[in-house]
Amino acid sequence: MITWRFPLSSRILRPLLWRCPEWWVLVLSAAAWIFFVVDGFWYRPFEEANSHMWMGRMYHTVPSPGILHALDGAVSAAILHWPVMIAAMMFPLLVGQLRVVAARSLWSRRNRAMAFFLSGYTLPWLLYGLAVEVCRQTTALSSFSPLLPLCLLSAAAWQLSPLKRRSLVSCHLTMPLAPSGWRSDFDCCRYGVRIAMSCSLSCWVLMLTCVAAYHALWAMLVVTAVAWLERLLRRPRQIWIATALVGVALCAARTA
Amino acid sequence: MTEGDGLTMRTRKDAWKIPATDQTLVWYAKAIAEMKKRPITDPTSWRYQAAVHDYVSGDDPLATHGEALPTPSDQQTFWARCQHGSWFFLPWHRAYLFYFEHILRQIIQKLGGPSDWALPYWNYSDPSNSSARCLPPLFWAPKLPDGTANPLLVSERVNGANSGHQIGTPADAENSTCLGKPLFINNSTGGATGFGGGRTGFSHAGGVTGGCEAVPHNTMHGAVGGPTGWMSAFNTAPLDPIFWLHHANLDRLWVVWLKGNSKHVNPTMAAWLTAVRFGFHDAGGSVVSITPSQVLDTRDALLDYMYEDESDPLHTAGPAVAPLAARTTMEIQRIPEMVGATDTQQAITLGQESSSVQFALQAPTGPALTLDAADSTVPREVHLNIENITATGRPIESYEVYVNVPDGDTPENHPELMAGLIPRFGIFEASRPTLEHAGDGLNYAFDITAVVAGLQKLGKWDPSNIRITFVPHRSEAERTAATSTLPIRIGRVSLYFA
Repeated sequence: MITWRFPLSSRILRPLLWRCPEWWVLVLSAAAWIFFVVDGFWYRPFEEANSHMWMGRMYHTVPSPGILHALDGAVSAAILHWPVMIAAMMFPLLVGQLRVVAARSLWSRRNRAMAFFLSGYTLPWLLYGLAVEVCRQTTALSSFSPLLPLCLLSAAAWQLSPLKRRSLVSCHLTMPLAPSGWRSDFDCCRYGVRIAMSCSLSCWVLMLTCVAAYHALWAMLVVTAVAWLERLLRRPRQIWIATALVGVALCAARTA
Repeated sequence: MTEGDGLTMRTRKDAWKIPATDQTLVWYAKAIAEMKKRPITDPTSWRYQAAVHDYVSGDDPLATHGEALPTPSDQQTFWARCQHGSWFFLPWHRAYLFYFEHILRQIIQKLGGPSDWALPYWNYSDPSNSSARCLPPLFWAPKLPDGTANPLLVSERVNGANSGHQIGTPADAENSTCLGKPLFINNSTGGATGFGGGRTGFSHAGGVTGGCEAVPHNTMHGAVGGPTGWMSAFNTAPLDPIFWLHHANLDRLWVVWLKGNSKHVNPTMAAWLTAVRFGFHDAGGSVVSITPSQVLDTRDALLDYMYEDESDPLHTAGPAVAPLAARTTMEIQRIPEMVGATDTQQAITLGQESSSVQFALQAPTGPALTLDAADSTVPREVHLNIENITATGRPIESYEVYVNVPDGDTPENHPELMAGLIPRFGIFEASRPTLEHAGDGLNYAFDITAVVAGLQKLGKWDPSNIRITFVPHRSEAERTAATSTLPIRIGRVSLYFA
């Protein structure tokens, strides 16, 4: 009898997946990035038609046939665009917390626990996104690009504030999680909300920069790089990051 | 910087075995007196060096009104850098001591002392010394031999420490548990403890406390400092001169652990060896940086020191160098699987009296089950996690943790059921949200494999239930002095199979 064997035997693959329970979250994040890259290239002609569009797209203000562009208004943008943006930019930063959630859960509940954690994490970001989009719609700003250098300078100043440092440290906290039942789901969700509150306080200006840049790929990469760097270093030299952001702000001001 | 001439290796001596004619401790005292004369803005001053470990504005016992502090940038770069609950605990403190010793040695040389002066260590675990847990006499003498004030004497210590009494209990000073740890790294999320600590980034707060950091490091900090003494808090501990001898002993234990068994090896990952640089100042006040890879061997040209006693009290010495395959294997840990935990609604508050918690256990369904089925020769490891330990002030008590003490029995009568100690050291600092801590408390993991095996042997192990009992841990002096307590709160207790 011939038996087919998967190239990566379970003896190798299974422990690897056990040690990296967050693998599917990273896959989700990668899919979100692919979406942004493809979406960005697909709508390049629309962007080039607008003088502000060298650095990104201007959906909601110009009619277009895209997936996101089909739905207009703040709510639709917050509900459709922000989760993808959070998945792309923020989920990879949560590897540590996801491993804590998985390790502190019963084996059979690990994926469920991570899913509840991510749900809780996404919620405050959605509310933040909603507030930003409502603000954008109600102020009837057809373009955010004049605000871009200002956002970057604000982000640079925010990097140096004690509140920023404190919230960044809080991004790494852990919380007790109930082992089973609805209480376990609730605790995981609550933990996600708690981490998101710290992360959004830490990165709110940076994310605003993404909005001001029309979620342009370059802006998302810059913001992601900053967020990665400061979490990786745990205690980064914020002055360097702030200086870099000022540099980007100057470039944005010159080309706007 | 270049240290050591490579010809005469310095020896860090056992403070208890220094002959009466040897001036090592006297020179230490004189150098500290010189450092204390320097302003806190001077990186080679006593208080600046203490602040490198931790500094809390408003909680500096030596602060004077209106004094100048280093610039905020300088403080952010060099202060409050101590690594706890992290695999950087040992290398960071080795580098910290090395540059501190460098400052001291230069001062001692200027004062006319020996050029090969080295920091002594306090071996409180020495079984051949019945006074091992007492402070060496010069640390509580009112005066130095020349009649001058003794800078080694600090009044902010536990009762009895400055009158020559034993400090803490044998359990506080016990080092065989950590020296018996097979791995350096513990699982950062809990479930398994190693000798050196869990994998983290550069982290002042850290994750799960490592084996040698828990006991004897944290326990002896708490034992010397008592409820309110300097040694009991991150930010004040280095202001007590015994701190440096305590850490020299821990540094020595790292050497002993490595030499004690051929399978004991340091991590070989770049994330530990070279990814992080520690910043300090040398004796000239110049900024220097160093990586863990540069402090692996105390006998190399840079560090150039050895300890008077590097023998292994467990006597488990094997071949000097482990084969490469063994080294790699030792870095691979089993995957721990949680099989039960307390509910988060179940408040666990520890006070002056003993208290217990009980929770249900489930049969393993993940890697622990696989281990049983596939390789029954590999003994299952059982780990008890105590998570998110917090306090609203400096706790009065440390606690002993017991597993399945029989109903109506006294836990102290069952040392075989003791899982470990929860020291008071660092709990308050780790509970306050600050610029350095998230405020989620400390985490400890105890290997209770032997305890569970003992219970299984007696037929007293219930695979569906476990009870954990917490008992205040007091030395003789503390038993008579303890009149009130500040409770410790535990977020969760959980059990892991691996």
